[in-house]
Amino acid sequence: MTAPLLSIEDLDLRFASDRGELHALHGVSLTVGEGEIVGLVGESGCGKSITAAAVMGLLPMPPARIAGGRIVYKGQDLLTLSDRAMRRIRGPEIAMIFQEPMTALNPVFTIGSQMSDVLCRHQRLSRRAARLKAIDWLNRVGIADAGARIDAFPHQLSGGMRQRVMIAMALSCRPRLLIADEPTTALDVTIQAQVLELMRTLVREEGVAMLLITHDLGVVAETCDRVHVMYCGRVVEQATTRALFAAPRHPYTRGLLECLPRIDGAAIGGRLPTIPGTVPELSKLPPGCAFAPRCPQVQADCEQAPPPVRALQADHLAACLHPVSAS
Amino acid sequence: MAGLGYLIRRLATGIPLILGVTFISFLLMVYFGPDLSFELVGKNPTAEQIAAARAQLGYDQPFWVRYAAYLHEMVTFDFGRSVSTGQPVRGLLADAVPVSLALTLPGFVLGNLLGIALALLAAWHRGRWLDRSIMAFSVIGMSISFLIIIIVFQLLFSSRYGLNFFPVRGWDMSSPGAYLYYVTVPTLAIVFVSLGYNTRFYRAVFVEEVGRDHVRTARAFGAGAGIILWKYVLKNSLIPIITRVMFSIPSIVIAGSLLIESYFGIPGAGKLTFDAVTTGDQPVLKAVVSLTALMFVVVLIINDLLYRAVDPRVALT
Repeated sequence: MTAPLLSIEDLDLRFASDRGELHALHGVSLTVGEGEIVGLVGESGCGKSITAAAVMGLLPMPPARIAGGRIVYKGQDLLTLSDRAMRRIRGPEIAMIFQEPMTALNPVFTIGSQMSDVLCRHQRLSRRAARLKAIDWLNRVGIADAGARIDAFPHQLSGGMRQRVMIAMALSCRPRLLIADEPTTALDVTIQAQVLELMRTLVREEGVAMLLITHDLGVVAETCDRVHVMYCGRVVEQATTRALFAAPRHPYTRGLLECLPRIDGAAIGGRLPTIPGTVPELSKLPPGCAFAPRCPQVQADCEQAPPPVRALQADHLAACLHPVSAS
Repeated sequence: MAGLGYLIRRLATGIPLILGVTFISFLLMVYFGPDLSFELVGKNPTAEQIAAARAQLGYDQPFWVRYAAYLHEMVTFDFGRSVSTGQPVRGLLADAVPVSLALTLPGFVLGNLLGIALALLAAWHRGRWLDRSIMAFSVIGMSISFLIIIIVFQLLFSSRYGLNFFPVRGWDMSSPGAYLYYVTVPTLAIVFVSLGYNTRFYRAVFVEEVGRDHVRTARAFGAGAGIILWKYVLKNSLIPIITRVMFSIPSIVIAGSLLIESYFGIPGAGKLTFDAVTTGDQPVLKAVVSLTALMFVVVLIINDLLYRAVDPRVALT
């Protein structure tokens, strides 16, 4: 097996706060192979966006502090790179798309100027060549009349168009890895499907690997090759999308899947099941498995220590002492 | 022409503002200002002498007649002669305003530019030692009285206890060399006094901007601190910067810096206004009040036009 493009190894991240240090990531491990689309799923606050920000080196430090682990990209640990070296990674190597298309673009510059800035910076193009290339990319992300739209300001575009601009901007850098942090969450449902489809097509065409961060299992099922499920700062299950949806092994994953409405299920006409209880606060995590207080099949040993991640099958890992049976 | 219509509408809305300001100021001048008739008459005047003096000053006219006369003066911008010196008011202003402008403008510009630069640095390094030291010096600068700064700077630069190079009193801008000779110490004092306030204000603006999503996007696309601060943050912060700068302009032109002008014996508009207030020199006061109001109206319009120029989301309505 060749080394993955990106491999996060045992990342431990803490935040200084008024109430003492908050432990945001408890040894998160995650890999993305060349050209692979990997999903990172979890509820809000589970640490998925922080993981992405850590890869990009975008966390404000302080208050954030990396207490352990490595983020290895193409064989080098990004955490050891200088700010200068990191700037050459951001864009041409790893590009990122954000959740808020309304605010992620700079309101006082035209989208053409913002795209050209990025192209000039990383590809040493002239202003003119960068503009042509930007128009080219706007066409590829399906923006009609790109030659005129390039001089529009962000507020003159709809949310879906702004997200298309972000995608064009990110892919125009020709990155090897695209990190998409909830790229469709802020969009209308119909637009969501279009944007997702566009991302999947372009990523495949360009051979770019993608780490897709989302809370939406439907998005994962449609898009990803492999999935990591996060809960309270830990990856609790990791498998291929097919295996995860067919036979989830962690009770949390199973709970999440049961919450999805099914077209064939008995839930039609009835109520959708929910996971009882709420996500514990970061400062009040239980000593054992963080999911234990909500787990339907909790046992005494679950509350002793956090369960280690174990391989249950080839390429199917779960952090659970009493995993759901595979059948 | 939407722009022209806008301009006319804005100028029209400026008229009530000018009327309001001049009316209130004139009311205060007439009923609460000093009565100069006592200076015109000698000791133990007769009732006729007093009446003659009051008539000479126009005090015998009803308030509304006097206010109407004021409005007429304002439209023609001819306020007659100063009661204290007998010189035409227009000439007094024409002499004093350029002096004040030349005196305060370098300090104002430098104070703002330096303030912006320090604030950008502080905002970028928010919470770290550089930010903390810049803010500590700002508070120290703000806490020292302007009077003390003027006196200390005069001692440092203009007395035998210090450099003893620059003049303590006087003004000359007939040549660039002479101008520099007289303007340096006042400028240093103005910069020192304004820097703390400016840095604190601009830092608050920049800290907010640095925290915005588009700055995170710029960083995620490999932009360095230089381009983020000088291009993205600065351009997005231009509205509060323009507001602060524009609203300072009327006071720079009219008020100058009274303390600087009196301590350095410089014949500027600040001193002219101050003397007019203390002596009750109504023609000068009327001119100063109307000029200030008029400048605020103009500044407000320019301010809004500039908003439109720097932020495409602003519409002129």
